[in-house]
Formats: sequence, structure tokens, C-alpha cells
Amino acid sequence: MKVKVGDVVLPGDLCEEIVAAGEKSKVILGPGLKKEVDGIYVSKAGTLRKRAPNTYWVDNYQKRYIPARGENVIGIVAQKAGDIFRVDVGGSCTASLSYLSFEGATKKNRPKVVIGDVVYAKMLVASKDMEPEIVCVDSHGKKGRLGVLEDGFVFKCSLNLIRKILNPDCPLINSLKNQWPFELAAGMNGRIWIKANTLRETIALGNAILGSEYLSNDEIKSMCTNIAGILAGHIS
Amino acid sequence: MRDVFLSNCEKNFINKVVVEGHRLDGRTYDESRSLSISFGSDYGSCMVSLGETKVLANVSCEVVQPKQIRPNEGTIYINLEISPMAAPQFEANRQTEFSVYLNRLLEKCYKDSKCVDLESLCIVVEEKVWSLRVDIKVLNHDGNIIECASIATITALAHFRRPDVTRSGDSVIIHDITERDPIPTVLFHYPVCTTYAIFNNDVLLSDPNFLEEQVCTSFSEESDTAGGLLVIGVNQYKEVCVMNLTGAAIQGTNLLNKALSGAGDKCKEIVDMVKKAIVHDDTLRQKRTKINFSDVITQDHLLCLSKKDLSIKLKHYNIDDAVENDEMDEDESEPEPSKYDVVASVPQTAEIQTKKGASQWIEISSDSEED
Repeated sequence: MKVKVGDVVLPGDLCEEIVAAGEKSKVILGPGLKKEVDGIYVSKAGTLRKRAPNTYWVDNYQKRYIPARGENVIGIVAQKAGDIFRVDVGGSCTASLSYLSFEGATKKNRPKVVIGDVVYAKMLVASKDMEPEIVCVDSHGKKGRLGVLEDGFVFKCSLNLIRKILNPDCPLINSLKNQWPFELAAGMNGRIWIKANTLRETIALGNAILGSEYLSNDEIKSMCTNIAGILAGHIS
Repeated sequence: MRDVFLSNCEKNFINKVVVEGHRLDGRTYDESRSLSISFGSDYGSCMVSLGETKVLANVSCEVVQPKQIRPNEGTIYINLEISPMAAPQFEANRQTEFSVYLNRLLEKCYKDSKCVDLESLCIVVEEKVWSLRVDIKVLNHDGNIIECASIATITALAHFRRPDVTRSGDSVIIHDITERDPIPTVLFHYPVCTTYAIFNNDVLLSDPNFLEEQVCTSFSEESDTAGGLLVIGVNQYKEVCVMNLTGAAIQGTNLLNKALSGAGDKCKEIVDMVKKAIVHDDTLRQKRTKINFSDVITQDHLLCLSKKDLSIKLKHYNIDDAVENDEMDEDESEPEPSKYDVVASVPQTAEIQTKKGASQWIEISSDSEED
């Protein structure tokens, strides 16, 4: 079936609009679109989106993570193997993390990472045929915000929810940050790490994040005040 | 089966939350997730969901030769399957230790407890008996598969009806469902398995979810917290049919007594609910309402797949609070009720009748005349 931007599309749909745009200038194909010999086909079910000038992608609901280069992910160290750690990032196979890719790490000065630790890392290599590789430093050798996450709690959610709360237009984080202090790390692989002063506040934070999945912006705001009210004990 | 990697911070957090007297999803210690039972179009097929854990059970029957040692008894066969659909760590078409364990527990609960009247399944002694086969498929795994699967098994067995059989001389005629009403299975009692997660050897959590199951069975060296999973199968008369403990040994009898009494009450509740669901389904079928699994999906249209309960929840949080304002704005105009009723009359026919109580407009005018 032929589709246009904004439609709900299914795998196998043909998009002629992108082909036409591609004849004039360069086009960027995002996730869910595939270039075949005779045109551009949709490979995921969702909504076809476009961002000016020429970027197209399919916005779909998904829980399984497919590694992509440059994304920040949250992984759990599963195994130590020689000089690399095997990290579970939720993909089809574990990612490798070299012990040298931490800030200030040398062959003698090994980073303190144990099995079961949660790491916030950047996807360095994500290829179809190879094991993905993640690092905990940026290109200047600084750790920035990457590294081992201590305490707190990690939970899984859909990949959509991550994109939703990281969207600058989403009011969730802005309305929550005025209510009580917390720390949050969102990995593009559908994992969120949260930490607040008390257990109850941490649970409230997780509740607010998961609850916002199917709410509109206004509803999110009212939900945040509602949760803050419950937390303060106004609403029993 | 690939292992599920559990991070230390999840473990510590869950342990801390449980010690403080709470649970991650806002339940109390002895609160179960919401149970829902729906039936398929055939007799003996049902889908049971316990929170986000979903299980499909289907009962089928065939005529086989009985075993030599029990020539007048039918047989029952239980088979549980876990595919990657349930959770990505499972592999397709491969028996794992976990699925063997679940199968064995269900067999103990339903075969060894002799809850099905096997003698009533006999057609011709030493020649032909009915063999019931219960196929259970796990659709989604969010902990406590055994409880969900056992509810599905008992519901499917109680709902199932086998074709009627008549014997004339040597020949046996199996009647089609349209020819003669099928016969329900005779169940002596209704056993149901319940699961308790044991934390620190003194806290009992009923109906643990996936994370709680993982945390309580994972052994951590630094803290000597002994935990495990206790499965108790009890029937509606509070008689224990199965008991199974994985993990650390229980110290003292208090914990076990508490679990047993809790399981007895819970099973009675569940069995009542199962019976009610079957009676409800039966009345619907007699009215010739079409029942199938599609009802489960189309109820809420777009958001039918969204979770009803969040996995992380405060105790007093209500998911509807946030959207309450919207619902208020909706105008409450109801669709005009139809004046006619479709009523079943002679078997297999229906007729259209005008609704009793006439129309309200006439009533009011008659009232005014009386005044």
C-alpha cells in the first residue's frame, strides 16, 4: 500500500513520497524504513513521521532494544571476561565494555566494577553482525555523566516511554523536579535508573514515570501534583 | 534458557522495601494481583490473567485404550509450554528445568490429588476410555506462573464438556455436540496452587511478581537473608494437595502455619470466583451469546494493551485519578434504549417483543389523567 507522512503504516508499505524527495536532495532514513531496489519500504508498524528538511522515520511501540551507535544506555554487568566486562543491555546479545574505557583507568589502575553493577554507558559500536561495544568515557577521556550508578533502583519500560520523557516538550521531569529532589538516568534501551532520598520518594518517582506513558501533557502535570500530594500525605 | 541478569541495586532496593513493610507495586503482603478469567468459543478453553501474567489453557479429549493396571479409568495428561512469547529468556521447543518443574507441580496438583473422576471417563472396560489432555501455554511471564496456570487448568477442566457416547451392542457411537448435549467433567474437588515468596525467613509475600521471585530466590553472600518460594496447593475444603519449597529451608513452624492458613482462604476465594465465572459463562451460552477471546481485546479499543496496574506504584495512587477530570466533561447522554427486546422463545429461535412497561410518555399522561 502507498502511504504518506502521518499515516499509520505497516511493514511492507511502499512510500513513494520519500523516493520523490530523494531525487531532489539527500534523504535520511530513520528506524523502520528500508531502501530496496525498487523503492523505500516500511519495516515496522507505527506512524510515519517527517522532520524538515528530509528526515523520515517510523514512530513505533517497541520494548526490545536494538543497539544503535551513539545512544546512551543502561546496562547490568553480567560477567567479567579477561580485560572486558560483558554487559547486558537488553539487546539480542550482551555488549562488551573494556576496563580501559573508564575515566583514568590504566592497565595497573583498574576501575572498581563488580558483577551486578549498573553502568550508564554510550554505545560505541553497534553493527548488525558484531557484538556491540559500549564505553564509559567521551572522546576527551572524561566520564561526564557516564559510569557506574550506585544505589537507587532500575526498572524496565517501553522504548517509547524513554523517548517521551526525554522529549524537551514533555512536562514530566520539569513538574517533578519542583516537588522533591531526585536523580534519574534514562537509557535508550528501555531502562531507567532512579534515586531519591527515601524509598517512598523513589517509588513515587517510578510511579510517576510509568504512569505518564499514556497521558497527555496536561494530564501528566495534574498527575505529578497528585503524586506529590500523596507523598506529602494530603491525600490518603 | 538464558539467565536474567539482576542488578545489585534492584536486589537491595526490593529487600529494603520489603523489610520496611511495603511492596514495590503498592500491594500489602497478602494482597494478590487482579485475577481475570475469560473463555474461548469452545468448551474447555480459557485464558487467565493474574496481573500481567497471562496463561491460556485448552482441554481436549480423545478415545484411547486404558492402561492394563487400571482398565476402567480414563487418563489425564497435563502439558505446560513456555515459549519466547512469555519472556525473551525462554527458548522455543526446549524443555527447561523450569518448565519441567512447573509441569510436575501441576501433575501433582491435578493428577495425583485425584480431583478428576477418572472412572466416569470409561466407555468400554479394557477397550475404550476418554483421555483428557490439558494444554497450557504461557502467554506472558510476570512471576507466579504456577498459580496462574493452576487456575487456568482447573477452570478449563471444570468448563470442559466431552461428547456424549451411546453403546449399542459392540459399537460405540460418539455423538456430535449439535446432536446431543455434551457432558461436563466430574470434579471431586478444586485444588489451586498459590505461591508465597519468603524474604529474610519471616516475611511472606503472596502472589510475588517476577522481580520479587527473582530477588527472593537469588542468594547473596554478604547478607545471610534466607529466602525462597513456597508453592501450596489447597482445595476448597482447605485440604493440602501439593507443597513445594525452593530456596532456603524454613526455620520454625510459624511461617508455614501462616502460609497454610492464608493459602486455604485464598484458594476458597479463587475457587468461588472460578465457579462463578463458569456459571456466568454457562448462562451466556444458553442465551446463545457468542463468546470468544476477541472480547478480551476489543473492550477498551486503543489502550487495551496498556497496563491496568503499574509495576511501581504508591499505595494510595489510583490510576484513574489523573484522568478523572476528563471523564467528568463528557456529556452523560445515554444512547436511547431500544423499544424492542430480542427474547429466546422456542429452542433455537428468538422473537422480537416490545419492551414491557410500555413507553414512559403514555404513563405520565395516564398519571395526569388520574390527577
